Amino acid sequence: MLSRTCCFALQGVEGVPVTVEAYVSGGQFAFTMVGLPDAAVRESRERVYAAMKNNGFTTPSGHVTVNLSPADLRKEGTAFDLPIAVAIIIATRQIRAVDASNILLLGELALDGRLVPVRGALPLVLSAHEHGIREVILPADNAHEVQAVQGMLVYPAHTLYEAVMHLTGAAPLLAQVQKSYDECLMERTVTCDLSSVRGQTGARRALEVAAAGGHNMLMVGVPGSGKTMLARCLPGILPQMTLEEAFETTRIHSVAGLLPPGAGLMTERPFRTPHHSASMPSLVGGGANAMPGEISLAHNGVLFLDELPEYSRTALEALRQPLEDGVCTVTRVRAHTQYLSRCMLVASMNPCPCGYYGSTVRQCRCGSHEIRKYLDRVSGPLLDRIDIHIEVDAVPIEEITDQKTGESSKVVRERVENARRLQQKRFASAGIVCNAQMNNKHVEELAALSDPAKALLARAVERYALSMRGYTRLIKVARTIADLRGEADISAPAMAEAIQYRMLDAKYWSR
Amino acid sequence: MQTYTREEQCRLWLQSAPSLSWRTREALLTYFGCAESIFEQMGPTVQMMAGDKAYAELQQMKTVGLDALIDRLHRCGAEIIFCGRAGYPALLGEINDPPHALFIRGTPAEDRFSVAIVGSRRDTRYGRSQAFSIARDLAAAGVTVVSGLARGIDTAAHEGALSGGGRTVAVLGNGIDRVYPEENTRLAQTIVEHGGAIISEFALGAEPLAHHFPIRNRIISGVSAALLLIEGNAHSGTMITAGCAAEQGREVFALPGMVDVPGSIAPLRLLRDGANLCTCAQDILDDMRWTQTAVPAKSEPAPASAQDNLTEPQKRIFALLEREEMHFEELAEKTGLTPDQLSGELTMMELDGLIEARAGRAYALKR
Repeated sequence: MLSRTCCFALQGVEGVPVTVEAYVSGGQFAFTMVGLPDAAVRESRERVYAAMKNNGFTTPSGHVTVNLSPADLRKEGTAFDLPIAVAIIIATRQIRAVDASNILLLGELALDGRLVPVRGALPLVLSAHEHGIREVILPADNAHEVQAVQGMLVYPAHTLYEAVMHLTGAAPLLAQVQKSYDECLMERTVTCDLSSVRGQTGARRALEVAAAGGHNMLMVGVPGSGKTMLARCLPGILPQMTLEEAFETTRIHSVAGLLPPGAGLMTERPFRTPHHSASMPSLVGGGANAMPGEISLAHNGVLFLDELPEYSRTALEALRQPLEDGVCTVTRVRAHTQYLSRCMLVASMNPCPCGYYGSTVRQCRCGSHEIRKYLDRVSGPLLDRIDIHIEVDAVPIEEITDQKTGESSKVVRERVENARRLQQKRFASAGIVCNAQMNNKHVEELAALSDPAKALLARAVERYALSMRGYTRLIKVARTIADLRGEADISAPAMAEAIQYRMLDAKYWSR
Repeated sequence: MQTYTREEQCRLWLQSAPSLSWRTREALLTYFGCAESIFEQMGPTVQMMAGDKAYAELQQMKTVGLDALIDRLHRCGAEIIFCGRAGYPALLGEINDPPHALFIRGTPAEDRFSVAIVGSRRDTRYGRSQAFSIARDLAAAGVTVVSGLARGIDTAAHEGALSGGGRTVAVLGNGIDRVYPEENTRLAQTIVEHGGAIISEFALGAEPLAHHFPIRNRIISGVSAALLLIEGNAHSGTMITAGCAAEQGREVFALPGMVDVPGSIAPLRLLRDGANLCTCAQDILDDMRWTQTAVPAKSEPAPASAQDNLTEPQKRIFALLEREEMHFEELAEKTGLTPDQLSGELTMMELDGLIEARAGRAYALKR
């Protein structure tokens, strides 16, 4: 007999409908799987047969043919175990015929018939929803991940037996109660709060400006000055992710298999810290299956590069284009995928090889030539893409033990969100969301300068010999500061503060 | 381009053998009386005195011909000057072991009023800025600034002299046809173009080998009437130069640094041993009794007119910075300004040229 079940295959961060067909005929015992299965899919026979036996089903004695259609699409992963098993069970008439072609089946089988979570559950369910499918049976550990998908009946199953009994109607599963996005946000916890950062008022302010405008940021400072700590606080002061953003980010993480079992929708912005030995493919994406890289995993969040000059030159230069475009295309022989990569780049570095140049705590041991060589490892074009540069010095011990705490992330986030609202209003027709994304045309049209600010800018351009790009970046940062101050036109004080965040090039890189 | 007599050509030939030491060359010249007779009488006697290696070099150059040597010299824009002749640094001729000849690019001069400024290659901001300003003021007063074209203090001294519009002389530890370190190629060119000179005792094509530099250092102090040491650690090459200067009877000056900085060891030790204290160019001019030359008065920290226009918070910042440089956080705490206000005020003061930002987010008055 012939049977059909429904599944979806991953293509980048999208799911493509795949029909699983099983046909059992008489004759000698045999099992054939067609439809370009990869090794993991091909091996599913062993898992499926063992699971069937251990859940009280019998394995077919005749010739079984399983076809994954469309047959020219390469299928990978283990999510096909459940639909294959169900298709064979129906085809061998072990249960009465049911129409399972409109129910999405996902899940890897363990040998004892348990359902094991799979990679990419959220993108598969979202795509199925777009294709008009309204019911899904999946491993219980994947259920939380799709909890925020509205208009879908989600049946979490623990074993193959449970799934089959649900289909026959003998023992229906309880559908999971879907949550609204607001309910998901309630579970959000801020891992690193700004109130735990002592002192560093200057750096905190720079962090706030960076968050308010979505600007990339570079911190230069001695070892142990709290650069990493500051960077970790950034996700907590960025505005809440919208539902779309949360879906986008969770999709990428789900595809990469980075969601822990039982995890729900990602509601906190990702914070990625690739080690400085990271290769170019690991940063921008790659591998035989064109997996997402760190910059895509940081989508809607923060990509933190600690010890910037230690990264390989090729890896850093490869980041330039995805940073600018917000999307990065990974092309491999078998796959060609686009991943979103709209993230904030936060980088940190020491001011010199020994780390203590300009420190008040310890004497630097480096000659000016060594410092020059060290700084030159960071290329000018990359530096140009970083709007805010700031120096961070170590906080004296007295200040760390001092009980006086700074503002909490929540207070700062409110100001950031206010500034972002002003930006969204301004850019409603421009198709961008924050100041950092402005191009030259936007800057000309949407970032008006007051007369004193204009005069100030002209003096700064002359004094620091700014390039055209440096000039635009300065206006962008000034616009963000003006948003934080609630000003319509950029005022002179806003511009003066912005200039402070660009002077590091002049100080370090032009000696 | 200069033309040379037969004897001068032979002296060039003698100077161009890399393996021939000063001592051997001196012995040869004393024995044969003049370079020309050495050239004519190349044979077992010369070979015995010069050693096999140097003899082979001399022989090879003799085969190629004297014209080729001169041609090579002119192709790299250099000339050669001889001890005891016009253009040779006057004071250098008075030391015990003056170079028999010097390769020179640029303008030769007697340089009776000259100060050598030497210091560490591992310089600090303090040392660099002091070297620059002292060299600038000395040069403006008509004093020649001599140094070694190395990284760090040497570079600052040459640059300072150039900005003071005066003459500066760089003494190399390698052949005159190349510049070491390479990044100072443009500086060397500027020195030559602005009436200064680059000199070297070493043959064309000589590498900057470690043992060349102590030899070179005796020329730096020898050319100069006084030597100023700025920064150097205990085993620094600058101590060798200072030793040479003392032997040659030159006045030695040292610029004091903070006692807890490694680069202060050499100058502080010199000061303890009786070197002259130098805090500015005027100190050197006074001690050397070079009073006929006028030095411009030390520039004021900031023009008074700019200070008058300060806003209330800026006045507070100015008062705090008058004592010493201060970190952003400390300024914020002491002025009671929020970080955004303080950033803005600092930018305004920096654009007005009142203060300067230093490494590690510290600020200081611009002097």
